[in-house]
Formats: sequence, structure tokens, C-alpha cells
Amino acid sequence: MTGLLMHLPAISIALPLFSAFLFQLLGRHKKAKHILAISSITVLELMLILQLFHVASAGNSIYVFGSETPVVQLPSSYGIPIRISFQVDMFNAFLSVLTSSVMLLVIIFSLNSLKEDVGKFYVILMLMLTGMLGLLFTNDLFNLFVFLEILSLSTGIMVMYKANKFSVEAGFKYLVISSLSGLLFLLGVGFIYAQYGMLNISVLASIISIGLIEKIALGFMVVSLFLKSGIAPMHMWLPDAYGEAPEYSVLGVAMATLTCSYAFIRLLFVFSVGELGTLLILGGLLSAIIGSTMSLIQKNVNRLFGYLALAEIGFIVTAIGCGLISTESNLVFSTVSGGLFHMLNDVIDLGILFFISGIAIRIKNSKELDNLSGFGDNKILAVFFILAMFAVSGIPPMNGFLSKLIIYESTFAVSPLIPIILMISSIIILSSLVKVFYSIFNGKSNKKVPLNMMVVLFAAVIAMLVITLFPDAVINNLIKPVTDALITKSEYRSIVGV
Amino acid sequence: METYAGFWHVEWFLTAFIILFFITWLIKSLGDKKYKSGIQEDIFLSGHQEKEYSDYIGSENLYWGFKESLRRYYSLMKKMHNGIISEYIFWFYISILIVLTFITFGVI
Amino acid sequence: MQIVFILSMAVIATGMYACISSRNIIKIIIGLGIANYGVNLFLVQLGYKAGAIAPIFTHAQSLPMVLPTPQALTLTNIVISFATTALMLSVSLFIHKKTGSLDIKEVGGLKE
Repeated sequence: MTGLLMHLPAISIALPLFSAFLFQLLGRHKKAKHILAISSITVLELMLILQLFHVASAGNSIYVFGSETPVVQLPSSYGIPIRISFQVDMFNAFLSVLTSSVMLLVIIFSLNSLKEDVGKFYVILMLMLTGMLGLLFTNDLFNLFVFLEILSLSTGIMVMYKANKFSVEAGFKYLVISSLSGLLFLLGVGFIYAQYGMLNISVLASIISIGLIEKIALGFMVVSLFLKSGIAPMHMWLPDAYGEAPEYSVLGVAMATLTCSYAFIRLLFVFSVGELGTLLILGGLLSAIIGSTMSLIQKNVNRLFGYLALAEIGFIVTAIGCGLISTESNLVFSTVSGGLFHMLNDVIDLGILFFISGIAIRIKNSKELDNLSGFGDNKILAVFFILAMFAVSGIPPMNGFLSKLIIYESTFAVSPLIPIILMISSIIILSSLVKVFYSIFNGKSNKKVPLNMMVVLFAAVIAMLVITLFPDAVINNLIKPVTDALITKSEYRSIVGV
Repeated sequence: METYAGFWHVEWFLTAFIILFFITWLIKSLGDKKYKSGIQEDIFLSGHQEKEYSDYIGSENLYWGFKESLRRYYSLMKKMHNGIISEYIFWFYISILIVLTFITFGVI
Repeated sequence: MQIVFILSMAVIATGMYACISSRNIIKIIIGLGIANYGVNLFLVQLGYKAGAIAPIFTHAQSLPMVLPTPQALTLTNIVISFATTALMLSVSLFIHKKTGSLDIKEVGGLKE
């Protein structure tokens, strides 16, 4: 048992990677591929939950590749930390559980939407999962770059999975712009390496002294990660990609962009570069404004939700940026916990919206808002949509309201202008969701919704209602330790003893 | 649940909601029992009876006033999101340049 | 050392300029490739140490050795950029098949 726990970080990367290549061995057995995908991702999910509990009780777990034992902290390599290592603390353990749950839901949701080439879809999905988990767990700057490229390549292929004119265009745009930003990220890594001669994030964090070169390097890294997580004014690829990605897996693409924002949050906090928090606030506010206002004039439903996702990422990033620049510890905790709680709520609420739009697109076979009408007789779907609409736009008593309340109250202490802009953007989000509601739930058509889609939708709604009704339990048991893991850097730094 | 400057109790909200719902129901039950829905709820466009709003008012027509009053902003935004990849890359360069200028001149 | 640094930055800037100056998809991919070479050059020159020897000999003279990390980074980046370029070229083939053009202004159908 201890052996399994010790090797969990490596196994959780290896499992999706190897199962990705197993799909090709299965030939044309469609059912076997479904079973393999669901079973492997369920096993992965259970392992990640086990890891979350282990980390919560026993502290950070570290995995050093290529040393005598995986947990050796500074191996006998002449004192230079050249070995690649993984480090799992509460923050990335929590995000990894979230990621794998989203991917499990996406796989179940897409079960009967897929045509003949099931294998290809699952290969891409598993590679995306590998990239995301590696990005979350890694403790090495260059390894971060490698997983970032794995993630963006597989996300690009996922965007053009449908292989029609528009999806190929969107995927090509994403590929070009993300590989360019990857290059500049690597340039930043090169600057850091030139200064310190090492790439291990924990060791670097304990010796780094922030000067001009370090700031320039981090500026390159942060801006390129901004692009990958679609923060304004570099967000233009995001609505293209969300709008043209297959409607059953667009939530996976959304999760991939959210995971990229993990990287810069972690880097800025662990290197304690509070000054760059201003960038986060500026980008976040700009994203919130542009995302909400542009969503009003959209005609494609998933494109509209893409702009909403942009606005929601803006909320998260603004809150975390306020946490970075403020010095009072109570305020730091409040802003960052608001941002991280909103991250959880954002994934669940936007997930419900994307699932409902996926059902509507599947049945109506069109993404245009005006062609989607005819769900007026489906009361369950309408109630779920209203609940998710309230949650996304922050109307009490839904979960999105609580996280937005925390964000408003705590960012008000930084600058009163910030919550005003965020509230205006919230109102516009609500009005553009009303527009979607108007066009989907108008008229009657008596269409049956496939069972697997309803199951996934119910699971997501139950998660949303649990957070809504028991916010104390969720915040005290999950968000509080996660926030502590992020803002107290001493444990993340000290685990490689220097 | 204590937040930074206040508090939030979902039970209180739900209790208040249920009480208000009950009061609303009471007020509604005071109404005319003999009311029947009929022609007074239908839609007329210049004397002609029509079936559905959505046949005439698509989702694009919603919030017309808002879009009209922000016409200049939206035309600027449409110019920005023109779907040409080299301009997307151009925005990326501009952001990097701004950040690097801020850093070198010590603004952040 | 300084010259190589300036040269690598110049190569990166050239590649980045090529990405926005051209309207042809293939030329954008070529620009990305040039920027990649610049980054590779930058990484390689980080690992250069005058008078040091390669860390691969068992019975070497007792001279300072080079840390092989930058070479490893460069090799990995070359492999990654190869994969990316191959994927983008195949996608551009697909775009040409679907739209009959490689001009980004004619291809662009996604707006607003």
C-alpha cells in the first residue's frame, strides 16, 4: 500500500499515456474501446482521490525520477538538482481530481455521439489528460514546457476533431498561436536557467532573488501562459476553439485552458512575485469586460459560452491577482480562496451549460441559436438551465453567488473599482444567458434526450446543489487547505532540502 | 459562513424564499377563480393574430437598445476579432511588449 | 558569448516578424520554424563553457565539465518543434483541400 502511495504521481501520468496507445491495439472493437476508456479513467479518478486524501493527511508527496528511491530529496548528484521531480500538494491534487472527473463526465457524455473512429477520440482525450496531469504535478520548469506542448497539441487536434472547414481553421489558429507562445515560455525558462543553472521549481524558489532579469523571464512565461489560458487581449483563439470543438468534448477543451492558468498562478506564488499581480488584475478585468460584452452579440451557442468562460476566467484571475499584490494575510487568504472556490464553481456551472448546449446541438444538429428552439416541453432541462444560469451569473442562493460574494468583498479592499467592473460584467453575463434561454426553450418538439447525457447532466447538477447547500463543509474541508497550500510557500519550497 | 467582510447563510435565504413564496401563493389564491386563459393572452401584430414570438423575434433582436447605444464599442470589437491569425499574433506581441516595457521602467 | 546571444535574439525576432508579415499559411509555419531555431541557439549557447569537457568520459582529465542540461533541453525542443511543424503542415494541407486557398484572409471564416 505504501508502495502504491509512493508511486501514485508517476502512475497517474503513466496510466492515461499507456491506455492512449492501447486503443490502437483493439482494432475495430468499438465496445471494448468504450470499456477501456471508462475503466481506465475511473481507476485513475480513484487513485487521484486516494492521493488527495493522502496529501491532506500526510503532507506533500514528492517523486524524483531516476534516483535510488523516488522520495529521496536531494539525490547524490553532486548537490545539483538536475533530476526531474513531481510534487503534489493540496492545490494540484485538488485540480487533478477536478480534471479527471471532468474528463470522465466528457467520456460518458460522448458515448453515443461518436461515429466509427472512436479510438482516435479516446487517444486524443487520454493525451490531453496526460498533459494536464503532468502540467499539474511537475516540479520542473522545462518539464512544465513539455507537458504544456503535449497539452496544446492534443487540444488543437481535439478542436479540429470534426474536420470540417471551420473546425480545421480554429484548430490551426490554436496550434500556431500556442506553439509561438510555447517558444516564448521556453525563452523565459532559458533566462532563468542562465541565471541559476537549475530548473527545479522548489529549489529555485528557495534561492531566487527577484531582479530585472528574473522579472523579464517571468514576464515572458506569464504572458505566454496568459495566452494559453485565453486571457484578454490574447483571447481571440478561445471563442473560435470553443465554438468549433465537438459539442460533446468542449468541456475538455475548457478544462485544458483552465489548467494552463494553474501554471502561472503556481509560479507567481511560489516565487512570491507580488508585483506581477497587477498584470493578473489588468488581464482579468479586461477579460471580464470583453467576455461578457462580446457574448451578447454571438449567434453560435458554444461560441457564446466560450466568451462566458473567458469572463469567468477573468473573475478567477482578478481575485488571485488581488491576493498576489496585497500584503495583509487575512486579505490574501480571502481573495485567493474566493478565486479558487470560483474555479471549482466555474467548472461545474459552465459544465452544466455546455452539457445542455451539447444535448440541444445533438438533437437539433445545428449550433446557431435561432435553430435551437424547441425544448420548451422539457421541464427538467429548463430547470437545470435556470439553476446553472443563476450560478454562473452569481444570483443567490447558488454556489456561484457565494464565490462571487467572497471575490467582491475582498477585492473591494484592494480597490473599489474592481468589484464594480466585475458586477457589471456579471449582469451582462446574466442577460446573455437569458438570450440563450429564450432561444433554446422556445416552442415544443417532444424530442427524447439520450440516457447517458441525462446521467452526466444529473451528476453535474447534484455536484452544484451539494456545493450550494453545504458551502461551509466544502470551504472548510477543501478550499481552505487548498488555499493554504498555495499561499504558504514554505512547504512547497522546503520539500527539497537545501 | 463568514466571508471577508460579511456572512452568508443559505438556510436563511431558503427560509425567506419559502415564506415569500407562501405569501405570494396566498395573494394569488385571492384572485378571480373563474379566470380562464383565452384570446387575451395571444399575440397580435397590427390586428393579425400570430402564433409565436420566436417566429418574428429571434435571439439576435434581443437587447437591441444596448447594442445600439454601444455601437462604436462593438464596431471596434468586431474590428479586433476579425479572424485573421496574424493579427491574433500581433496582439500577443503587443502584450509582451507592454509587459516588458512596464518591467524595464519599473512600473511593476 | 554576447554575439551569440544577440544573434539568437535577432533570429527569434526575424521568425516572429515573419509570422505577422506574411499572409500565406506555409510562410507563417516557416516563421515559427525560424523562431524555433533562434530559441535552440539561445539554449545551446547557455551550456557553453570555455575549456570544459563533455561529461561522457569515464577516465577523463580532471578538467571542469559541462552540465548537459541545455543540450537535453535543445534536443527535446527540436523533437517537439518537429512534431508541431509536421502537424501544422498536415493541417495546412487539409485547409487547402477544404477551401482551395492558403491565404489567411480568404480562409478566415470565423469572426467576431
